[in-house]
Order: sequence, then structure tokens, then C-alpha cells
Amino acid sequence: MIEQAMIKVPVALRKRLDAAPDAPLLIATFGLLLLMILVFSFTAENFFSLSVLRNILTQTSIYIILGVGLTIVLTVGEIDISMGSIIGLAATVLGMTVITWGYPIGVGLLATFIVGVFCGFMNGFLTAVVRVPSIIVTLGTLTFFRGLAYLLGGSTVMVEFPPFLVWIGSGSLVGIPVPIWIAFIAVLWGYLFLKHTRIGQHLTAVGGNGEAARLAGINTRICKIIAFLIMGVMSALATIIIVARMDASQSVMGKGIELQVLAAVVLGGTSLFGGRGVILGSLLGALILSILQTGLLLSGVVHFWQLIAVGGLLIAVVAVRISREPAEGKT
Amino acid sequence: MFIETTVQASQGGAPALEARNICKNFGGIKALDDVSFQLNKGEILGIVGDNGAGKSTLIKSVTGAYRKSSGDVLLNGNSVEIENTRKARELGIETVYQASGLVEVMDAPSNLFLGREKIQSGWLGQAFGFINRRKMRSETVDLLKTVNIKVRNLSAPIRNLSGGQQQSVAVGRAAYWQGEIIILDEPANNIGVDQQRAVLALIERIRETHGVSFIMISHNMDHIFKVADRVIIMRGGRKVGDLRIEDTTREEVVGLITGASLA
Amino acid sequence: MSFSSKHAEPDQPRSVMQKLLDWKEAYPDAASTTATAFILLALLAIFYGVNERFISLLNISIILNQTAAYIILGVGMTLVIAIKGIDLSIGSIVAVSGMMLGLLLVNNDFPVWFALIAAVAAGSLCGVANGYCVANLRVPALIVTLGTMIVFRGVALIVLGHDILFRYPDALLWIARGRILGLAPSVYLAALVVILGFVMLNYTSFGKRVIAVGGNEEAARLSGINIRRVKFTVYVLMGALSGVAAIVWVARLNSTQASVATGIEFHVIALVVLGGTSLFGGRGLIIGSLLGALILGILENGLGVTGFSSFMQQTVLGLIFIGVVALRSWQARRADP
Repeated sequence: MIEQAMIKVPVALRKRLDAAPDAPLLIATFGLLLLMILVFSFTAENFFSLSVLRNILTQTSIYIILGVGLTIVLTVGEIDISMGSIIGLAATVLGMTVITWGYPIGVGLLATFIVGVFCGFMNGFLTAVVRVPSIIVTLGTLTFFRGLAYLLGGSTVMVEFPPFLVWIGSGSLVGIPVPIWIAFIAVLWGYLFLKHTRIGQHLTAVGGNGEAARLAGINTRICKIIAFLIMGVMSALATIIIVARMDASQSVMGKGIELQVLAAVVLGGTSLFGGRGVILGSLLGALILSILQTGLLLSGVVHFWQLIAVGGLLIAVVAVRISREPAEGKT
Repeated sequence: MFIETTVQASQGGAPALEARNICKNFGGIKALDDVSFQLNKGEILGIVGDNGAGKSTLIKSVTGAYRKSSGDVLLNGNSVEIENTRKARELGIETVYQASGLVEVMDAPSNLFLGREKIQSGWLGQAFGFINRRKMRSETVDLLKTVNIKVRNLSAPIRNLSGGQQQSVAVGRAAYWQGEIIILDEPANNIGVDQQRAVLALIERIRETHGVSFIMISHNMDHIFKVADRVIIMRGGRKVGDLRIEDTTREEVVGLITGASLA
Repeated sequence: MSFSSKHAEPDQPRSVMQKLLDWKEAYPDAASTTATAFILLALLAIFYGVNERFISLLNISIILNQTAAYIILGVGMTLVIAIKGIDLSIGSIVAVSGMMLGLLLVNNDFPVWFALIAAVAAGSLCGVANGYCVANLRVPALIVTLGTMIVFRGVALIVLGHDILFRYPDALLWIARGRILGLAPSVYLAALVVILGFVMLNYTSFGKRVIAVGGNEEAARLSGINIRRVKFTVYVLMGALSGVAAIVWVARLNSTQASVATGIEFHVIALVVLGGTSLFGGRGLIIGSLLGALILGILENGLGVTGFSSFMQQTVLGLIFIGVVALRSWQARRADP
């Protein structure tokens, strides 16, 4: 009797796991997150306080939103390293419309999204239609968008945004900061979109086997353009939160952010080779990075050592994952 | 030059598929030079030829995977323009491609419904294109049952299945979508002998139950002579033979493939 | 253009166009490099038209001196990309090697030759870390070097903090400031690296193995090539060359700080791609990368001389880069549909 029960449980569990292939990965990533929280609750003072938690989540919301976009781009088998420059350009445009030219905030937000869509379309068009490898395209647009931002905004800092924008940055809704709400909606949307809609299914197929997807009648070019458009829109969303939180905009904003976002997404288990996007993993990955950095800071570790910890963790996690999944690691 | 034989007259009615004077150039290279053939209703037509003879190019040009340089395609006697593979499928031509028809990292239901996912019936499906996984899954179970494939885990990526099972899923997919014509590119290549037999049996069974016409590219003479009714032979981008299986021998077909009998 | 290839009668003398196409088919690398050379010449002509002083011996020697570090890094990156890899950590390796120079020459009085060896050794050691993770642990190169980019920079920051080390001995400064036949020694050093890289990639068995691993890893493995060793060696070479570049860099600026050379990895990848090396591996154009580096140097210098603001420069650089690469891929697709 007891023996039977002991066998039955794992079988039932196994069936559950079979039905959700991403589950083991998510559980492992979540375990890492818990472990980190546990360690820091001993080493860092006040780590468990509500204000620290709120701070971490609010800070991370930007990375989570960008992570959703990048996960979708990686799923379709491409990469985007230009998001930091999109943020710089969008922040500059937002600042100029609202502060320099004095338009209402609604126009400013609209302009921000237009910039995001324009940049995303440019990346997508060059990748999908002109067929330049996306790492090259976004390497070029990384320079180009930033150049445009400098050209428009110079190095001036634009401040004193209208109250609505400030509310987005530091206001709360039902006791939860607005950026967290936005990040939550982005993750929920990204998850449903990628796993449960027809277009999400097509994006995964294009990243998994572009030729098979094409032969099945899927328009691979449009799928790729859609992924880059989503990245552009997410960049615009992140821009609004960044500007709102600092109550300032500047052309240099977002510089170097792509590395942190890429690290978060990869930590979360999304494949660099396409065909597998784990939105919830990217959420966990972004949280792990933030908690690691904040935890080390609160434990009194110098900033420079935090860099080493982040880089080391990234390589270690991927190395362990590849050693456990030899099929994925073989090239 | 080879002379056309008209099998059509004996059967009455137009052939299921007819290709007339298909040419395909890659840059300056003539991959297909004025190829014509017919596929009769309910027939299994074999296409054989050496590597580079133009077999795959021929079916890809007919089904819109390649843009043909010139030539016409007729379905049931009506001239049709097939610009891409989606159009081919709308017209009832399903193609099982050699090695590249499935997305290996996705599960069986996703592959079965690739590009034609079932949408939820409510507003969620209409407005946002939410897919109905449950329905896709249950129909996959039914299909796999009818074609006699056992898959332990339907949510696992398809690369975990054996080569024969993958090929059966691909053939089953073509049957599920009720193609009137199913084109198979090396359906039993690179898989074990038992599995080859299973795939061939599946082809014959689908013909009997669904009344489908097949075009089957193969290297394997045994397979051609086991299931095909007729065979056309390609060499150097041209059709060099069009023979009924009962009227020919392996030796003759092999001779045509290598060019020995024409020398 | 189509008149040449298809309708030429066999007994007619072959047209110049036809001969050119044949040459392009037989020597794709040379053809690609020639195309890059034309871009370079066009740029020179444009800047000369705008400002005659642009092509003076003085300005050319300045450009070459500024470009020397890029050229050295470009040779290493060409090898890395030829094996279908990538290295984002080179800027951080330059910082680590520069830190070594500063510690040994500014904070202490070690002999210069010893410091030079130590700098290259530090770079090589970083390369060993990259190579081990890529070749032995099989972590994708993008991830490894993204991680080590952060780690190596962290090391430099821990050691140097926000200090700026300067007042280097004259013997080190001579590398960038001395003159041999009108050019700085660093230019000769870059030329030497280019020649060695070119010979190694094109005329040695190691070079053949590099191309084989990048072109078709499985085939290379089956033909008995030790893939791990090839990959490992290439990343170590990249590290060592980053150390050499650090020497040139520090000698020119006469200063070291932890944030030195931040972001240069993108410039270096860009110049290699400008030079015609494919990111899909199996092809490495050392001379092309040399020309790519010169294009980059000339653009930066030329845009400055002709009075573009530095903001405008960045926009134009990005546009030209995208334009050239788009043209290349369009051309490649036309040749091979």
C-alpha cells in the first residue's frame, strides 16, 4: 500500500510536469530566487521590510517590461540590443514635446509610443525584409538611435513633468506602486500572447524552425516584424516609467541597459537560438538580478563586487543548464 | 526526346493534378527543363531520379514553395495559379517535406495545427486570437489513434519522438487536413525499416479511406514498387520516363535513372 | 548588367565585365576586400573635397595612430567571428590590461618590458577564462562574454576604484608618441599584427582549422579537428591582442582608469562586419577588417575635421554602417538566391 502510494505520487507529478514542459525550469529558477532571498535575509539588515521589497519591485519593473519584449524577440530567433538607445530617443522626444514645446502629457505619451513603434519597425524591417542579421542591425541602430537622441536633445536635462507622469512614477494604486502594476500587466499579456494566441504560436514556430513555419504557410517576415514592434512598444513603456520615476528626461537615458535585460532573460531560460520563450522565467530572472544587487548592497558589499557576482551568476546558471540539457548545448 | 503518354483518356475525367511545361532556373542554371506530368485521381505516383535530378525542385515549383520560371498547373482540369504554399493548401494540396516540415521544439498538437490553429469560440478567440489547446489536443489524440502512433507525452517537443513517429505525424497531418492530393518528399528516408513499413502502410490506408491521390518522391525502388501505381523518372532536370508499374521492371527504371538505356 | 554573362558568344573575346565576374567568383575574399577598399577611397575623396588638409601626412599619421588599437582588436575579432563566435568582453579586457600597466609603471617602478609582458599576460588570462567557458563548458559565446564583460570590468574597478593613473615612463609613451619614418611605433605594431594574422589565417593549418570550425563544426569534428582547442586558442589570442591594444591605448592617452575603452566591442564588431567578414562563421577577412578599421577612423576623424558635431557623427556613423551592411546582404542574396 505505502509502496504503491510512493510510486503513484511521482507518476502523477510526472504527468503534471509533462503537461507543462517549462515547469522544471521555472521551479529551478524560482528556487534560486528563494535561496537568494534566504541568504540575504541573514546577511542584509532589514532585507525583509516591506519598503525594501517595494523598492526592489519598482526598480525591477523597467527590466521586467523590457524582458517581456526581449523574450519575444529571442523566441522568434532574433536579438535586439538597441533598446537602450530607443529609450534614449523616446525619453528625449517625450521631454521635448512636454517640456520644451509645452504640449499636454497625452501628446507626449503618444509621441513616445510612436518613437517606439518607429524604432521597432526599422529594426524589424531591416532584419526581416532586407535580411541583415538582427545583431548587426541593432548594433547599427544602437548607434543611430542614440545619435538621433543626442542630435535632438543634446545633453540638456528636461525636468518638471506634469503631475500625471509623476504619478505614474511614484504614485500607488490599491497600495501598490503604479510601475509594478504596469510590469504585472506586461508580464500577464506577454505570457498569454506567447503561449495562448495564434500569433504567439506562429512566433514560436518561426524561431523553432523558420523553414517549416514558412512551408506551413506562416508569414515569417511579418512574425519577425511583429516581435520587433513589441520590443519597441515595451521600450516606450519602460521609457515612460524611467522618465516618470526620475521626473527628468535626457538623451543619455537607458545606456547599457540591454546587457542587464539580456542577462535577465537568459537567466530565465529563454533560448538564444529561438523557439523557446519563457516569459515567467524572464520575470524571475529580472527579480534575481535585482535582489542580488540590492542584497549585496545592503550586505555592505562594494558595487564593484556586485558586478562580478552578476556576471559570474549568469555564466554559472547557463553552464549548469547546458550540462543538464545536452541537446540544447550542442552546436 | 521522350513522348507523352496520355493515361487520362482511358479514365475519363480530368486528372487530379496536371503540370505542363514546368521550367525553373536558378540564376543561369536550368534546374527544370520543360517537365510535364499528370496525377490521376486515387493514384500513387512515384517520382524517382538521382540526386540533383530535380525531383524536389519539381514538387516545390508545383506547390508554390519555389516560384517557377514558366509552366502551368491544372487541378481537376482547371488552370490555377499557386503563388505560395498557403494557396496550395487552400486548393487541397498537402505536402510532407523532407526533414523540414515540423518544428522540432514544439509539441505534436502545435505541429499538427501549425499555421491553422484552432481558435477559441468566444470573444477571446475572435478578438485576440486565443487558441483552443484543449481541442487541438483532443483532435491530435484521435488522429494519432487512427494512424496508430503511440506518443507517451503529447506536451513534449516533437524532437523527443523517433524519426518514424515524426514522419507519421507529418503524413497524418496531411491526411487530417483532408488534402485531395498529398505530396511526400522521401517519406521513409532516414528512419528504421519497421517504421518505413508503417509509414508506407499508413499511405495505403489513407488512400483507401480518404480517396487521396499521392505523389511520392523516393530513392528506394522497393518502396516505389510496393505502393506506387505509376512512376516518372527524372534526370538532369528533365523527365526521361513515365511508366506504369505493372508494365515495367526495376532494371528498366534504374536504367532510366542512370541514363544507361538511352545511351 | 545582364548583357555580360548570358549572351556572350563563346568565340567572342570575353568582356571586361565577364572577366570581373569570373575573378569575383574565383577570389570572393579579394573581391569583397576590394569593394571595402573602394568605400575607403570614396570616403577619402569626399573628405578631401570638403577640406584639403584632410589628406596631409600629419593628419594621416594622426588617423593611423588613433586607429592602431582598433586594427589590433579587429584582427582578433576577425578570428573570433570566423569561428562563429563573438567577444563582447574586449573593452573590459583592455581595462584589466591597462590596470596592469598602471599598477606596475605608475604605482611601482617595474621595468617597462616587464609591464608590457604582464599586460599581455593579463589579457591572455582573461581570454583563457572566455575560452574555457565557451569551448569546455559550451556556454554560448554571447552569454559568456556578456558575463565576463561585467566581471572583468568589476576587477578593474575593484583595483582602481575611480582613480586615474598617469605619468607613465617615456619608454611606454614612445610607443604612441615616437616617430619612425614619420609614423608612430604603434602603427608598425598594428601592421605587424595584421601581417601575422593574415598569414596565420590564410597560410597555416591552424588558419584552415579556424575556417573549418566556423564553416561547419560537425564536419570539422568528424574530420578529426580538435574543436575545443581551436576555439580555446582563438579566445586566448583575442585576449592577448586586447592586451596589446591596451598598451597602445594607454601609451597614446598617457593615462589609465577603470572605465577605459567602455563600449569599444561594438565598434570593433562593426569594423569587422564592415570589412566583409560574415557573422555566420567560416570566413575571415583580415585585410577587410584593417580597411574597416580605417573607414571607422577616417569617419571619426573626417567628420570632426569637416565640422560635424560629435552628436551628428554618431548618427552618420550608424547610418553608414547600416547602409553598407544592408547593401552587402542584398548583394549576397542576389548572387545566391
